[in-house]
This record gives sequence, structure tokens and C-alpha cells, in this order.
Amino acid sequence: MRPHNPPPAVYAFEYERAPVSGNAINGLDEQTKRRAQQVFHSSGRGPGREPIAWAVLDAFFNLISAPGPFWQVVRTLWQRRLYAGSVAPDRIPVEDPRVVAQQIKAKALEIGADLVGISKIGEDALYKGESVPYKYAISLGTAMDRDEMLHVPQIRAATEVMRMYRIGSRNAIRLAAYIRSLGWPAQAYADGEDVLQIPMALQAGLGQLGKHGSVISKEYGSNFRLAAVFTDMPLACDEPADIGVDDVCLTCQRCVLDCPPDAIFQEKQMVRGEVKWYVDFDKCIPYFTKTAGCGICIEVCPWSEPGRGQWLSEKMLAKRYI
Amino acid sequence: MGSSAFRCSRLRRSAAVESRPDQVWRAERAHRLRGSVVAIKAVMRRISRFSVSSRDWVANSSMGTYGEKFYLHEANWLQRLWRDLRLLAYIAQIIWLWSVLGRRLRRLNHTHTARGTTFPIDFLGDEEL
Repeated sequence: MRPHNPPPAVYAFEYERAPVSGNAINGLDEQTKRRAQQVFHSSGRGPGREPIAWAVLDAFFNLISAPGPFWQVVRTLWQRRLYAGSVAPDRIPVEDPRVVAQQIKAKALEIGADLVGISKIGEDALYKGESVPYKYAISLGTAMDRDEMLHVPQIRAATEVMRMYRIGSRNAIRLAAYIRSLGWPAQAYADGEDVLQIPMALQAGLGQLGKHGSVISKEYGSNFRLAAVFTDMPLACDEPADIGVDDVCLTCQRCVLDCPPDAIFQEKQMVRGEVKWYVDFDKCIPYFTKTAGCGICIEVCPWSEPGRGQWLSEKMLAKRYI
Repeated sequence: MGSSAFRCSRLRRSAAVESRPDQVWRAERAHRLRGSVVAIKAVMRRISRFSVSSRDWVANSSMGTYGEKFYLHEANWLQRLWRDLRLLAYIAQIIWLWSVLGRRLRRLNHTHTARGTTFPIDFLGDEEL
């Protein structure tokens, strides 16, 4: 797949007083480990919290969005009120966390999630200064319609992205309500909540981090959106997966060549004390704003082609033993 | 008798409107519209106890408290109903902001893109509707 005539990386909007570089806030080239800090999208800052450096661009991004994506945002805003709810008074005892984890995963798939994994909520899942009163995270992946996503970077694809965020949120709401009905506290942490979905998904074995900074799964490549349910119910956690993503990304150039603002690095970068794939924030986000969410990198990725991920993974893992 | 008087008064009113210059009539209409907008916003503000402006949006103070304002853990049906009403008012304000300020920004963005010029977006943090 190649994007159809993506617009050039030239912008009609600009900051008169440029904010601090998003790369600096994200900790590019920083050797010490620390928590991430919000920089662009955010469900917000209450009183007494640090302001978000790129909030003006985020507001601009929201305000200029087309009716299709905006309508999905409005619907998500309405259903988001159900992220939390009351817990049933009678608690179902958990004897074997592995069995219960399997049951919860089966329920998640039944509800409509396409990928599910469980992890412990670690430091890397939370932004600086944030805390959550839960121990476990159930990461849910919801696959997007590939035919719609082939229209990136146009409004049609942006609408599909926001639709899947809404459906992912709905899945998380339903799963959280199910866990609460078993007498265990649970809350949906999906679209609009300030948690880092990607580290949790990686820890839960949903996939591996790709060169374009998104999670790549064997089943859907990067063509899915993430949501999560946090709970205290004792659950057996999954292990991070190795499906051979690095073996492909180290030599593949597709996302690097097709990215109009040249935001994707060829090599892994040092980010907050960890060497990993990273996307240049200062180049990516203005283009992301201009094109209502871009998404070219995740659609040109060879892993995102339906049915190809399994084959690629098997081939890459087999090559290691030759 | 009553209905003919009503018809007469309507006729008189329409004749008066027609005789007035267009500009005056437009100004009156705009004034009335502005009055209704202010009234609607006042009602919304009363219901939701806060109003959304682009400054709020940028500072995210209203978005940031979504959880505090709208999440209910243990609640009765009345509390849930009240929450839903407040949330509807909040969403109406978001739609209002998107349609009024958003339309202006979309037009500005379109014009400057076509001309190949740029416009600053910093003012978003200061703009009040």
C-alpha cells in the first residue's frame, strides 16, 4: 500500500512563541530513567498541575477536525461517563489466577476485542505525577477496517480511527462492568484517559514496538487501537512477545521513506534511559495535525497487510536459527 | 373579531418591517440572536456549573476534570440522572465551540493553505467565546 498523494509537510498554522521541543519533553537522548510527561494529547490538567506544552496545537487539532471524526469524539465523550461504576457487594473468590485470567480473556474476546493481554501496572504505564488505585491492566486491541484505513491521510481514515477508539472504549466499559459484577473493582482506561497504552500492551504480549513507534501484532500489524481495563482482581500476567519485529524493522525502510515530514528515525534512539524506536515529535505532530491524524506509517507497514504478519513472524524467527 | 385584530396587527408589523432599511432590520435580528445565545449559554452554565472556552480547552482545566465531574462509583438513579444532564450540557458546549470557533479556524486554515501563507495559533489560549 502507498498513500495517495499525501499533502506536503508545509503548514498554514504556526506558533509565534514556539513551545519547548516535544523531543526534549519526551526525553530524547536522556540517559536516566524517568516517567513520561504529557506533551500533546491529554485528558487534561486539573488545578495545580503543570500546563501541557503543546496544548494549543492539540486544541487546534480538535477544533479543525472534520464532522466525521468529531462526531465519533462526541459519542466517546458521552459513553466515557461509564468508565467507572459501582462494584457488586458479593465478591467471587479467585482461587487460581491463571484460570480466571483465561475466563476474563475469553469474555473480552466475546465482548468484541480482537486482542487481549494482561500485565501488572508499572511505572512506565503512568505519566509523571499520576497514580492509579489498581494493580493489573487488561490491554484490549480493536482492529480497524483495513479498507477504510487505506485512505490515509484523509478524513475517511481519521473517522475510522476515531470510530475504533470509540468501540475500543465501549469494549473496555463492558469488560470493566463485567469484572465489577464479580465483586472486584475495575475501571476502563481507554480513549481520553491519561495512561500510556503502548508500554502496557507490550508488557501484556500484544506485540512489539515497531520503527514507527506503534505496537505491531502478528494478527493485525499496527492496524488496531488500544484500550485498557484496570482492576485489582488477581490475574496471571502475560509475558512480552517476540514475534521478530526488530528483525524486519532494522532493515525495512517503508515507513521511513513514506513519512512526508521525515519524522521516523533509521535507528533506535536513547529515550529516558532506554534504547527504543522513537518518532521525531517536532516533525510528526504538525503533519499529524494538518492531516487529521495522518497514519501513513502504520498502513504502509508490511506487518499491517492482512494475513502477512503470521508469515513474516515465522520467517523472521526461523532465520535466527539458520 | 380577535383573529382579525391579530391579522391586522401582523399586517401592520410586517409593513413596518418592510419599510425599515435592511441594515436596521439585520442589526435587530443579530441583537436578538446574540441575546438568545447569551441566554442559552447562561442556562448551560447554570446546569454544568462551568463553561467551556478555548482557554479552558487549551489549559485543559475542564477536560482534565472529566473524571472528577462525571465518574460515579456508587450512586443512586437521581445522581446518575443529574450527572447525565450536566454531561449533556458539557457536550453541547463542546459542539458549540467546535462549530463556532472551529468553523472560523477551518476557514482560516483553508484560506492560508491556498495562499501559501501562515497564521499564528497562539491566540487560541486567549480566545473567549
